[in-house]
Amino acid sequence: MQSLLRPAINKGTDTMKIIRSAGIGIIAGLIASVAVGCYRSPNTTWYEPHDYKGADDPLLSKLEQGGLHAQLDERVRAVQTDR
Amino acid sequence: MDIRTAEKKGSNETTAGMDRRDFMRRSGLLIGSGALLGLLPPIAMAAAEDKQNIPQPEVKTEFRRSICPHCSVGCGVIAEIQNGVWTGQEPDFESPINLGAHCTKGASVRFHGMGSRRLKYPTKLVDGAWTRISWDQAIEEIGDRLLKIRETSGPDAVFWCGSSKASNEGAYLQRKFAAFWGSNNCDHQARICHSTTVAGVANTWGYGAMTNSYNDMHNCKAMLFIGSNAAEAHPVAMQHVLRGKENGAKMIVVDPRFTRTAAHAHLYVRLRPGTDIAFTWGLLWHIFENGWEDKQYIAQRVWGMDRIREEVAKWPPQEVENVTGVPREKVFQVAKIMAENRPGTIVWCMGGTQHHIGSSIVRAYCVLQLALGNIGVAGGGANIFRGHDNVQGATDVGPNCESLPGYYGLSEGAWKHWCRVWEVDYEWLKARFDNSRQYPTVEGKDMYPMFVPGIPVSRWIDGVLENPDNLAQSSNFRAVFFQGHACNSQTRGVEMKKALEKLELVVISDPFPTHMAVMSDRRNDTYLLPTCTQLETYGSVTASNRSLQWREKLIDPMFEALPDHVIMYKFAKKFGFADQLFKNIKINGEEPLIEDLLREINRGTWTIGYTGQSPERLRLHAQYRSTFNTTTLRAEGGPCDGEYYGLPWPCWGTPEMKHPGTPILYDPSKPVAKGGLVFRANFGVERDGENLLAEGTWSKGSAIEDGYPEFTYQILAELGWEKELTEAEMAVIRKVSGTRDAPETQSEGPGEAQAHSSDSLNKVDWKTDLSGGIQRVVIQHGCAPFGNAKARCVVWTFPDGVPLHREPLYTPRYDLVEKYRTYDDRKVFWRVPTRYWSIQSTDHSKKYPLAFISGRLVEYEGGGAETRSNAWLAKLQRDMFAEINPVDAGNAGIQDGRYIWLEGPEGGRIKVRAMVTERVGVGVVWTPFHFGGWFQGKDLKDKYPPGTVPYVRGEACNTATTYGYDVVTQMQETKATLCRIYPA
Amino acid sequence: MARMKFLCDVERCIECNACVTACNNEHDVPWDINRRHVVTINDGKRGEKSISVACMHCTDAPCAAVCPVDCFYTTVDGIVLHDKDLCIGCGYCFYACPFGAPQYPEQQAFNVRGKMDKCTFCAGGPLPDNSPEEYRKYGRNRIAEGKLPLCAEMCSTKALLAGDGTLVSDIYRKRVMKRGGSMDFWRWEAAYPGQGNENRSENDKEK
Ligand code: SF4
Repeated sequence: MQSLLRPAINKGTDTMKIIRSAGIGIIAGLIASVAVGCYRSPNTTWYEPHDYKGADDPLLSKLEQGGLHAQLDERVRAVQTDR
Repeated sequence: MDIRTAEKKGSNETTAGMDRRDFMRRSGLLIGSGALLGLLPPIAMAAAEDKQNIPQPEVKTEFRRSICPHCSVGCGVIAEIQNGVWTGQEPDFESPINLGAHCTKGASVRFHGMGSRRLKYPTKLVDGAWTRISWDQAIEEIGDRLLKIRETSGPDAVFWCGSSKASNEGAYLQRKFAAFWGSNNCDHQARICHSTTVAGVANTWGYGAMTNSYNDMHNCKAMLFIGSNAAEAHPVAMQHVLRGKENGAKMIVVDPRFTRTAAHAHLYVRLRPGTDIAFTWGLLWHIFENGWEDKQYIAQRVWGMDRIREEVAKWPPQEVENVTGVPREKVFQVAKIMAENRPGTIVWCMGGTQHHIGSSIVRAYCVLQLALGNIGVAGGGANIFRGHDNVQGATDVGPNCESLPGYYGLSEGAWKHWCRVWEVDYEWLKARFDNSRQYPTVEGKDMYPMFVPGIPVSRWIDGVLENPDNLAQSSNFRAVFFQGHACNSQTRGVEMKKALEKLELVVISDPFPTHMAVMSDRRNDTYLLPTCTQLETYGSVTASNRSLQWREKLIDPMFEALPDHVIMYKFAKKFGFADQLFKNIKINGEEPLIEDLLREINRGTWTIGYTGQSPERLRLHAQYRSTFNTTTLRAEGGPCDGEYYGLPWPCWGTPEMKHPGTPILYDPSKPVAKGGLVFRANFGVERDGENLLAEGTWSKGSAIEDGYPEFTYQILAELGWEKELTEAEMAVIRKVSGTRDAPETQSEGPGEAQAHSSDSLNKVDWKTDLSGGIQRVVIQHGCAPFGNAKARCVVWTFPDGVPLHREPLYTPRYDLVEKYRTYDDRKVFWRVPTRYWSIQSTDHSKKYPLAFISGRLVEYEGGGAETRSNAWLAKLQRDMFAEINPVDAGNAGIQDGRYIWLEGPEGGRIKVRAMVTERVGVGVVWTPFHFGGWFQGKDLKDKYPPGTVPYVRGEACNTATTYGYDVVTQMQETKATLCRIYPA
Repeated sequence: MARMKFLCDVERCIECNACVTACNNEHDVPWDINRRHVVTINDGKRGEKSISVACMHCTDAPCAAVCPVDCFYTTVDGIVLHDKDLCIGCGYCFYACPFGAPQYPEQQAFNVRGKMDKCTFCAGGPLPDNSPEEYRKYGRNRIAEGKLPLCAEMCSTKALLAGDGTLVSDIYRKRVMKRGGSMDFWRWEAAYPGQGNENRSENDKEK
């Protein structure tokens, strides 16, 4: 039983470290981006993934049609503000 | 943005201490979440693998709306129901209270539809084994036992514990039921939550409720939180608080703990537990010293401030610092911020109320606000955040041992009023009570039990254990009936176990078995009655801001569960008083009609204006909730135009009068007919030769441009306004007065009424006039039915007229006891002896050096039976723990995350995990109070009925808490006791 | 083209976990998985801040870059999704993700790693939208219904925002400007010169 537990402990701890450091990063990043007033940065290192090999998602074509987008944007304005 | 750089920056800081969730998650992993799953019974394994209640695309979805059953914010809940199955939950964006938002508890309510861990059938303990029985058998057996006890020991030998989780209708019925059983021995959570607030605040200015609203906090310029951790206890309130802050309000948090609310404050002040009065007088010292008080406001609307000045003069900065532990500059800073940023509000919760001087502490807060002129204005007020979802409503109309519904009290007049409403004969009801003899009371005169407050929930264990010679009633409790109340929220767990074991009969009517079912070693005579949650029935519920909201039934009761009111009907029938109890209530099968119950509340509760909120009006508000402004709560257009959301009480007069509700209490800037108000004249018209009525101030449009007393028929007649009463109203008034029955002929005009005036007719007032005519006429003239008076800073009817600081019974600063000692013991307080000095006279601080306080976690509610049985919440907080300052941990040799013993000075001890953190100051230990299912180191999971073991169990903190009760309301002193800690 | 984004306003986040629970509710995720976490720094100390984190739906998603079976795909508006039927549960994406977003159920016997599970932006997976099969594997598909992720829609203080990045940052920017006009940024200092920031959320300094 002990040996089965061990991986769980390690995993949990690592996860939290990563999440926490990421959290700090995001906060710092947000503050920095607001302060500087810049929201986009071009220097992303782009790794080319291989082609997706899974099943088709019907959502993709729905999204491409655009109507759903208008609906989603309307929703943001309606429900994410303080009203 | 370069993500990789950002990540590196963060990684420097990963050495920062664990946060609470990290800790919890990790400690969960220490047991091994994998291993834990192995321990889970098969049901949970199934739940973990298969999804339940899956939405079906081809099935029609119905949307039903209820109100969150957890806290008093009152967030709207929208359920998606397919074929009676709860398949989804949507945000209620239209609600002006939560705008779609939920905290973690509200976001989890759909789990109720899964039903796991619920108590499924009536169950009884037979030689230590839980055995399923039928409802009929349960009612018969329990009923026979109770009737036997009533016969041999009188009606006071049973304690009926009701609930702040019941609907208004359910809670009202719980009070009425106890009365018809023949006893005042009923109570609910408000006793141990805000009873001191209710008594202290009502005695200051009229009503003991939150004066403004969560939404109104958008208007604040300053917000002082003292003893309130809204971020965890009232999370969605923080939406409004933070909007207020973004509008420019200065936010101050005063608390022994650096809470998550404090994390958002501009200024945090760490206070020694139990020293709120000293701190508040410290603030007032600066306010008076600098002339920051609102002199005109005080002259017109406040009485007794001079006597406060005398007391405050005894609290110069050095004394305040010595007693409270707050550096003097900070006290000054808080005073200055409050003085310079008006209107400002004060928010308090159980940090202020749960003290043996709680009823004084809350009055000190009120006096501060009165001095600043902050009461009765938008953005100001005493924003008292109540706890449970319907603790406000249950306080207003529910099971309170010291009052009938509507704060009418227990006088003969009060009983007669309610007998008229109930249409039962007063003498018949009186005969239901123990009339065999009179008993001594706290006022010193002997009285019959019908007119004496019952034993409150904080003291029920003494009702069982106390020597019967010391009790002011016929017998000890021989049976208890708990409907919707967790026992682990009450102090002195070790004695509670003894009390439970001594009882002849224990009945628990609840959706879950609760800690009470498992904590004792009872082997027989214990019944569990599956009772449904408020999501499985419907009715009205009162949020903290006094708004009533209508709940729809979302799903049918799970398994064999029944609603509170059906269970009470069954017992009433068994006891033979169902016909009387439900005289004007329609019964469908065995279910009393909720709407009729609310209409009866409407017909009787004139004192606090629960009269205008008919079921129809509340349904309309629910339907058109999107038309209400999110700051003022006033409907703009639509069928509710001009009304306030949920018709916040007082909603004067009859529903037909269409009063809009009162969004802000005592706000004279609006006419009373439009929700304005003045301070209530409830304490006479003069005191020590001084005028207690308001001077030179009145609500907008008032016909009387000065102070005035409360309205009686006589005053109406003196003003010549009685002519405006309709014939029908006059007939009712005459009937109430008993002068004569309804007129035989309709031709009798109101003008003739004077001819019938007699003393008793003159005495009919705005509270007893069942027609609502007096209220209607008075309001037509722009006046407040309850008069226009000054708020009083000195409550001469309380032991301490001017609030005085007194050290907690168990104080870590024993050196201060000489100067700030407690009260003398009381031989009888209500019905039980109550000790003060005989406890404080022993110094426990050497052996138990740490102050011990408790509080809320956002995931859990109350005793936690419900929330710890909700997998979506339980997975986030898996262990009971104690927060300990690193210094104290170091001194005790305690390591973070390890088990420790926490022991209280009365010997109760709990085994919990240590969480070493600076959140608490040196010398203070804090624990959450929601855990149960362990007792003094032992997990009691084997004692639960099969299939009902909560996902998470832990020690109840109150196993280690101690004696101490408020001198006015019997509130327990849980926010200032002592403990010691050592490694387990 | 619009890009769907989450944004958590740290000034509003009160660490109430509603987002985590809303997610659990909407997708009925198993006991040992939380697709979203609330992370707190300086817990219990001055400067305590919390933020809610799940999958960030990266433009250049490292998980997709490393996946040996190429089970990831991205919608036109930048939602990163995956196919559980293809996933081999290797855990490589967990290594690659800077946020610890990928999760693995542990309830199988002997702790075998199950298929990876992560935040879908409430957009389901490659199965018919809102079919019971999609619900079982990925949870609900709110996007297909024109609704936003439930975690953001239910956030107690509207700290967590979700939706088209430009709209979300509009809302956020307005708040920041408003706060800029309050004492957080200048009025406090003006009103209480010299006692501004060291008094903010200060605890126990004197002890
Ligand atoms: S517990 Fe309170 S704040 Fe949380 S969702 Fe329910 S009513 Fe709202």
